[in-house]
Amino acid sequence: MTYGFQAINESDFLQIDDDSTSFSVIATGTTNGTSYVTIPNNFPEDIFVVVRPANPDPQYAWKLRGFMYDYTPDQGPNIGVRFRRAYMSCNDDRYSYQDKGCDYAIIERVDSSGFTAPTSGYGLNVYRANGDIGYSSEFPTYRVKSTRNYLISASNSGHGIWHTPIGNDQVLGMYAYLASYSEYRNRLYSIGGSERGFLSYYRLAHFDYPNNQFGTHIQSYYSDASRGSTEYDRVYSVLRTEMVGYVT
Amino acid sequence: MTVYTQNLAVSQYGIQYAGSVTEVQDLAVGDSITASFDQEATSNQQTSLLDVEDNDIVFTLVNCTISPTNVKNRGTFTITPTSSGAAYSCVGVLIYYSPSGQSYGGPSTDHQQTTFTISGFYGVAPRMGLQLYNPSGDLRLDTSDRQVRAHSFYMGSFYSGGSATVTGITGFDPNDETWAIDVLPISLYISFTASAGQFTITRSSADPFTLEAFWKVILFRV
Repeated sequence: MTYGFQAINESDFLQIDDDSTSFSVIATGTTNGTSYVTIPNNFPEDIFVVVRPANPDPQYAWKLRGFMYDYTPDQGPNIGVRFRRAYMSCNDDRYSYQDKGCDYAIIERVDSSGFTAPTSGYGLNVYRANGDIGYSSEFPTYRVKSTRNYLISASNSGHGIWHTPIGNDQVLGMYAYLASYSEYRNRLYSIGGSERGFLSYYRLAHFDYPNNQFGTHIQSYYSDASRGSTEYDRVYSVLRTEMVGYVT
Repeated sequence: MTVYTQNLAVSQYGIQYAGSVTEVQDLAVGDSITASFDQEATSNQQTSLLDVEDNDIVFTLVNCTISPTNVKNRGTFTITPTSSGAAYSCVGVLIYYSPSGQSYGGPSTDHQQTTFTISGFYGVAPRMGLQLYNPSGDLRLDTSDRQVRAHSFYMGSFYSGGSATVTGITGFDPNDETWAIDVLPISLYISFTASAGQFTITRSSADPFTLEAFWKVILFRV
């Protein structure tokens, strides 16, 4: 870039330039006893969803489970019907599972067809060389405070705290990028002779409000399995990005 | 870079009580404090009480260091904060001999103590960058934010045992955390690997769900 506008943050990460396109909030809401939000099919393909516990009691750490779902059956009664959903539920540390409400925001490109062009006449709009808008301060956005890429495997779950806010930032209020906070591994194994056990492992977003930290928490569930069953170990072995930040 | 002076003192008349004194000093980055803690004993009190054991002040330090580390009553020392953007505190407790009957609230029947506290907030480093606010005063962009930006997305479909490889993604480096990756579907039968300029998404042949399945990979910059 030899001319135009560029904003670089205090840690040298590029925030805005006139070659790239940023994102703004297209929809927000709160779930209450429902496990998923329907994503309208006319929303762009590259939207993403961020989620946080709704009205959490901050004296406890909270867990978020959830994932994106996008499926179009090619047979059966719903053939050709696209189901596009963001699943989410929250619980505080006293429980292994609760279907507590979540705040969510759906984020879209500012140049997508569903974006309302800025009209207020204030703030900052940055346009790309082709005239498309690339950044606008008109609408709320996802202000990422920390991110990491993690290759999930059987031996590397990514468990642990990986973001501690600095300055006046607080995890209370932040949203997690809705990555794969769901079952990432299950295995059926011998517990002696032909006896079998089954373990299911979940990766959960961990909002540790009392200690003002954010991370990933692994939770497992055990059950007995049928004697003599074939042993296996299945892993969602995927390189994923995790992010945490504000929606303002 | 300012060096502040904080000389904390408790009156001689409080020597037989558990005296305490507190000062607050907020600091900018690079600032420090030259301090002294003084239980203002008279010469007679100094001889008959403080000098009997001649104890060092015992410090509890949060987000700061002191130099020197061995300090007696009226000794001068330097407080240097260590954590920008955080509160700091330097608490010193002087325990001295105080005969039975004069140790009101003391740590033992023949000892008394005085507590000195200096605390405050150690400012963040000068910030560089752009801040944007909406008309309500909410931040839309801060100097510490990372902004998600669109790059590309890829879609396709496969059956169990199938895979798809996309190459030629200019600049893509999965080891560079300015790249963010979203992968669908989420399934124990899906694997995804990436290297410079390319990725491969694979659906295991062990997938008992045999129908065609849709996949999508979204790449962001952040």
